Amino acid sequence: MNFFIALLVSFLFGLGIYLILNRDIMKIAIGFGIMGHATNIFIVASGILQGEFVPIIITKINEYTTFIFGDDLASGIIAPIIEGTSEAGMYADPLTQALVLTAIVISFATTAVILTLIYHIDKEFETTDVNKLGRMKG
Amino acid sequence: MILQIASTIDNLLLSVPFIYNNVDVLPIAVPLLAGALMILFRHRIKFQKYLNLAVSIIILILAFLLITKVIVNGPSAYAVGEFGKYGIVLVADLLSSSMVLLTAFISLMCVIYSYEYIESESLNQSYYALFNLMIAGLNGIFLTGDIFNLYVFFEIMFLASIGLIFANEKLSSTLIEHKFEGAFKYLVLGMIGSTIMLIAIITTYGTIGSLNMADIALKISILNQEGRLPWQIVAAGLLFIIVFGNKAALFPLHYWLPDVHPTAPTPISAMLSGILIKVGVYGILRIVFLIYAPASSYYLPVLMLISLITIVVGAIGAIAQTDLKRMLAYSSISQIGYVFLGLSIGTAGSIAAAFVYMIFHAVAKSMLFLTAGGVIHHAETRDMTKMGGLIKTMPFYSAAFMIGAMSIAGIPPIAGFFSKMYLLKTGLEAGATIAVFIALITAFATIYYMFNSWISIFWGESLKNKRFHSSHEMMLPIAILCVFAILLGILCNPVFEAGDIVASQIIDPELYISTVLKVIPR
Repeated sequence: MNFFIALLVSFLFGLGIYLILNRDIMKIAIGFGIMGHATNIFIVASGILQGEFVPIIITKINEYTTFIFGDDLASGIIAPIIEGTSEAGMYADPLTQALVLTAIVISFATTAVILTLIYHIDKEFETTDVNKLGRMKG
Repeated sequence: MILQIASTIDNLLLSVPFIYNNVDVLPIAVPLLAGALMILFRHRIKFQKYLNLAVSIIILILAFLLITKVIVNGPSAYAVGEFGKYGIVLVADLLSSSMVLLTAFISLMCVIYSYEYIESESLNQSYYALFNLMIAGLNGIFLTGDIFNLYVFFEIMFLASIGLIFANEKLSSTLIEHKFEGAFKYLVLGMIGSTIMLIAIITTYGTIGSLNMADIALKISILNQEGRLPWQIVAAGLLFIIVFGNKAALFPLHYWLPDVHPTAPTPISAMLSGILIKVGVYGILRIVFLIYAPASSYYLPVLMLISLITIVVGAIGAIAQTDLKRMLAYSSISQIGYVFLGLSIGTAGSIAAAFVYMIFHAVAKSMLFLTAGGVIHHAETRDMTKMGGLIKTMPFYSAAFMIGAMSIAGIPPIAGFFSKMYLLKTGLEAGATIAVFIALITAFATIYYMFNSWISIFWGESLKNKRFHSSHEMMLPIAILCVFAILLGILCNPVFEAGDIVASQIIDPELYISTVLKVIPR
């Protein structure tokens, strides 16, 4: 992973956690949004690989299906890497990009739920401060 | 004899090839479809009610067919689409199919109970749809063989259960601010958990290059044999344990449970305490013994320490409570600690005991929550000190609560005794003497808090209250669960045999891996 991307991810995580530890529940929701972005960048960045193998299927059609899977433990390849050489020596794994779409949709849904909950809490109690909301002790 | 019956059913099923071939995916697909249909039919109240009942019964039948198929033919794998190991694979071994059966059974009971218990407006608007989505998520978690798909189903189940917490009861004794606070805690911890889970999944994928559980397990074991197990793998496994431990309310992350489970309406409390915390146990079984099996020597001692603290903390919390549903929720924490104790001892016998304990606890605890719902509606309060003398007005509920309390506390003829005895016995055989001693001492505390609450609810001065009349729809599921709690105790041998098979499949994941690799070419 690129050093600056790693730095960005860690910075965003720190910011998100700082906001989650806040008293205001609105800021907690924003913190979760930022932490979700940090995770998404982490996912995409983990798919950028360097080496002589590209994740594009060229040869070796499997007899059972028409897809090819060739990870080769003997030569130290344990990523979803298929034979063939890229020209620049750098490529992106397409599966992580498919994963990040799903992750974005799910974080969208959870953010919608938490914002709805905060809206109703604000309407009911007219405060968004955690300390004033804490009524259940023990 | 059970094998003969199973093979007869399996042969009958062969005549319907569509269901036979797709029985792995139908327990997920049917409730997903039903959840969408329920929203379309929300103005046709009667139709919606019977449709939901029919769907629940169909899922129970499908789960039954799935487990007979697994008993007869061994574990089965089902590739969704033709993407090989980069696609999604559903795997049904005996553990996951019995969890699906348990989910289907308990959820059918909760659905029948809901008709009378939940307020009609929220019942018709969103309750059925969310309930079916939650069932789809649960079945998906238990059946999937892909860790990212596990995350997706986990989120479906989690979001649906948040919606269900807000369903209103007919005679509510829960304040809305308690609901808000409980749901907010649940949501925040769940969101942190899902972020951590995503990081763990991506770390595993970036290191191993696969999302398929069996494939990851195989590659990690090969790397371990070559002596170059990457350190990130151990860390990723620990992150998964945090996520599932949060769901199962293990010690440092247990404090949300006594706020969330009691504020939910009673059938949902029964689902949360009966099934949803078992998701954590299932997840950790898969993480520790299948996926990250070579690193399990790091995890098991930590899990044992945490499980012992969980047992003690849950029992102390339960003793201190005067609120009936909070007492039951703390009892759930303590009991889940027993399950994790069996899991963390790590021998085949103790894992079998943990599995059986999990099933017996699900039956008994969901019955106790359903009974508590009737009691709370009758007494119009959740405070046990304000109740009393209910044995005269509701003898059926007092008997049911007694049976449930006996099962949780471990009094002989009821199911809970056998699982607890087997757990402690296998623990002693494995040499975990101190752990078993602590568990045994806490078992006395369990007896105290269960029977103390029974006495304070049903004995003493009687209340005069005529507003609530218990209907047959509420009594039927409690009666069925009672019968099962007693029958599972008397005829516990088949369950223990199933537990032994489950444990042998967990300890040696060779069968699981080879089943999956038959379907997905490498």
